[in-house]
Amino acid sequence: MSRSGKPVRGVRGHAARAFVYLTLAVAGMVVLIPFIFALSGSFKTAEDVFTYPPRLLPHVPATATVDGEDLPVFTVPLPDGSTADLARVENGTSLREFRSLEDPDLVLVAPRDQLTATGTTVVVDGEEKDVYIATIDGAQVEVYDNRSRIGGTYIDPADPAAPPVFAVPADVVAVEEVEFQRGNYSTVFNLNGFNRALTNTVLVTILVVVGQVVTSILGGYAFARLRFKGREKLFLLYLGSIMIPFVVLIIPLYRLMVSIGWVNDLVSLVIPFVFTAYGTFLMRQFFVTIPKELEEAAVLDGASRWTILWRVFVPLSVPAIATLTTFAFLYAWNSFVWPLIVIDSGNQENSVLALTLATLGGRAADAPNLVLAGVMIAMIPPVTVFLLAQRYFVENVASSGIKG
Amino acid sequence: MTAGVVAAEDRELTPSSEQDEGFARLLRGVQLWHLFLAGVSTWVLVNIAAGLWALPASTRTALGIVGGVGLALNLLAVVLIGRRVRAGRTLSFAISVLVALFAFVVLFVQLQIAEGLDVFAGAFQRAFPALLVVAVGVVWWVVARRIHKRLLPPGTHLTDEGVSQGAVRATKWLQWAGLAVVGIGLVWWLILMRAQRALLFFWDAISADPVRSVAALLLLAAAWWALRTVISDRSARYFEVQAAQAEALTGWLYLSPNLLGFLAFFAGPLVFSMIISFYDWDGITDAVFVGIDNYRQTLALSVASSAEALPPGYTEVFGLPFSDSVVGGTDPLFWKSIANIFLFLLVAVPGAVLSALFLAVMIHTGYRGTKGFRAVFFVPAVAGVIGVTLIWKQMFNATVGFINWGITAAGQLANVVLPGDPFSDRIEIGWLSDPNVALLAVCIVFVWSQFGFNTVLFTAGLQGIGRDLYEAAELDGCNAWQQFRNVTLPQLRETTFFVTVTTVILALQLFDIVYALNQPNPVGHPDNATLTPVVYIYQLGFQQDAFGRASAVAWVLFVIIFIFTLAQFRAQRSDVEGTR
Repeated sequence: MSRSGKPVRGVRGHAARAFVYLTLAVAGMVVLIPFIFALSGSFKTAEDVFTYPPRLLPHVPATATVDGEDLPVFTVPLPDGSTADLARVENGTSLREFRSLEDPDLVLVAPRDQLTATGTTVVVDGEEKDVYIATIDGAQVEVYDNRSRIGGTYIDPADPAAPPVFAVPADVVAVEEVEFQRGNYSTVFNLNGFNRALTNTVLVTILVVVGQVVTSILGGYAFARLRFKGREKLFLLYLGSIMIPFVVLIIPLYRLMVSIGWVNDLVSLVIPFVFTAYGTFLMRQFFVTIPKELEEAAVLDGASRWTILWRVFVPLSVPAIATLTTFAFLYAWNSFVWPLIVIDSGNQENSVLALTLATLGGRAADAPNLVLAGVMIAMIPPVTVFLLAQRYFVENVASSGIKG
Repeated sequence: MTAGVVAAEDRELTPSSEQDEGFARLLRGVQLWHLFLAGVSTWVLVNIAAGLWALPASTRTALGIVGGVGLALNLLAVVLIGRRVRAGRTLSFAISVLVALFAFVVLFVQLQIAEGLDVFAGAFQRAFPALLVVAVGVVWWVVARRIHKRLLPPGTHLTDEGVSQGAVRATKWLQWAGLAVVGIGLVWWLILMRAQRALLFFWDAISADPVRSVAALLLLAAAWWALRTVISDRSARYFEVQAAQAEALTGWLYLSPNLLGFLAFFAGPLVFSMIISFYDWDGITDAVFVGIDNYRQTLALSVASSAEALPPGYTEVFGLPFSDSVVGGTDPLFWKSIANIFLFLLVAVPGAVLSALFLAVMIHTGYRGTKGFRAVFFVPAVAGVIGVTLIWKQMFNATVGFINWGITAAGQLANVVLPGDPFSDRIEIGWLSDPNVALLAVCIVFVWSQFGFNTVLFTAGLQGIGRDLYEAAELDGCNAWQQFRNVTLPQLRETTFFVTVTTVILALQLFDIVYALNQPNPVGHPDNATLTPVVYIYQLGFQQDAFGRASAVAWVLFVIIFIFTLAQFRAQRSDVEGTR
């Protein structure tokens, strides 16, 4: 294959093309499989998630309605050696295990009163056993009462009046059918303040994005177009601050929140993140590229700085603002460390999604289906925004290489 | 166009006496404003001197200084403005900005904005369905507008040939319908929000202390008026400021929200973090200055001939090879976290970089549809790290998990080929509970969510390589591998360096994945196998309340990160200089 972006023709070209598509498809599958797994798991019952081997489609035990009652359906072996899907009317029926006198491997499980006692006994392995007459395949067979078993009574849901069939649990297999547990989504939605966390996240994200965009536009404009002493040095300081990892800030910022009493309040998730060096940098870089002539024309028309900024610069900067909005949205929506520190885990009123999800994740052992449904709900907005703004996003990452 | 001509003449900054007089009257107002502020400062000073306010000594001193400085600066401002000195303009500006900030903060507190936001969030939840209706209306309107514009491009008319009048009218109508949905949604939203309650909330907040609220509001308005007067073009002319500096104050004003926030929530905390790293502080009792003890305790190492021979307080960190000697440290957990993170880097960084390089080369072949894979690969990075980690946590389940099922299946396949059936028919790796593989599980999640980002960076780098280089290589008879080896790799050197360092910096701050993967077990589970530096900082700071120690560890980590950042910065700069 050629790396110059010019596909090679011929047999080798076909082989190269197949190789490229194959590797990309495999990588694509690696990316998508966890999401498919989560989607499938979110529609399962908790027991079904723990079924081994894992299955793609959600299954539930099949049921049949007999006399207005929902009964579980099992595949039950019949005396003639075939099997049938029958409904279990009773579980825990006390049964007896009968074995044929002639062929001890021929076993029949049934309640004692279904057979006729002969009144005779037989000694098997040193024990005295009662002998009964059973009808197997229309033939009368002499059997002995070997031992007690606990099993179930099964009937044909299509013909409930037919004589019931008896079987021990080891011999039956539960019949399953595909069913999507859409209720998982509403359950998780109303669980532990999940819905409140969702709307809180929307609110916080909107406020952070709007705040960031406004302060970044103002600051970016000042850095790009308004001359003042110390501007370049201050800009360098802003640039340098992008390199400081958030880790260094979490403790003092938390203490600051404690001292102004914002701990456990949503405002602590908004105000500190409204002012960003990164956004200011992004807007400044874009504003610098706008031709001065456009601005001068507006000045000649007697427009004020304020008017010029909002009527000339902002409309021309839609791509940059879209990029900043997307970055700020994804960052605010997915941010986790800060909410974890500043909002108590028990505080359902002021929690946000990432935090509620992490707490919910602790329930993976008993409700993995709900965890996965919650994850799906939380992922839909950022993935949608990314797919809509993908053009801006991928281009910006590619050009500046700075991460938001 | 007369207005434009006048404005253009105005720009020449020729003072006309008529305008001067009008503005001088305005400036007298500004002087009055500073006299008022001087009066307030005097009042504060008198109260403090007379001991009328019961305040802690430190607050009294601070207020005294503020009052004194305020009095002096405001009087100075009055004099300087009166004498038409340029510095007076700047001084007045600075004072007004600070007063406006003060009034804003007082209003923020008085109106209980912080508490109000929590109340608002409750109403916001109640009214959320209405907001969804608004969103649907907006999307509807946007789509209808797009279709309308496509049917009727700018410059065409409804009567033009080829324009379907019915369709155009229908889309116009659809636009209005979308706006109507927005309107209905908004009205419903206001009803559900119970907007009147918001008014009541603010009324209650204001009536709790009406004097203070109204005073703050008036102060804010006055400061705003003074600011606008002082930074106006007329003011610049009056003070005969050079054209190049006329906009300086406007610049500072536009920057001020950003800059004040930057100082309060970034620079201030940063300095504070540095200071408390030299203190022993639990956040409740008074901080005790301990010098570099926090750093010493974190970093101190000692070598001894055996674990027993280590000085008191030291615990074995690792044994030296080829001898019985051991290295002990006063903080073995810190060293454990460092060892963990470098082990993590060793696996995760090559994984996230090499896979991205390979896939970027595949995408760059330019076959139809390959570009779309960039977006697909990017999805894990945007889906939210907690969400994706919880998915992986389920897949890592030891007994019924998807991963172990896959490994088991692969083992069964291998059994067909290999003699002696070496693989069991139920492989159960304890991804989350076995200390030997727990970190590997974290690596897998990290690489999976990071490689898409790196792929995009690499494709950008590949696009920058000139086609002529490949053509020259082809003429020299290079095959695909030789082209990759001799053209692509050297040309991508800078991109590779950038991607690697970015990934390293990100990986050094590993926290979210570890946290979510181990819930509800303590962070660092199992057996501190996933204890990373940030996890350790979290433990120290928020579980043991050792804020000084935690800050010291944070700064140590910062130094490690900074070394990589500096390397990246250097490389970028030489890159820029090289192209000039």
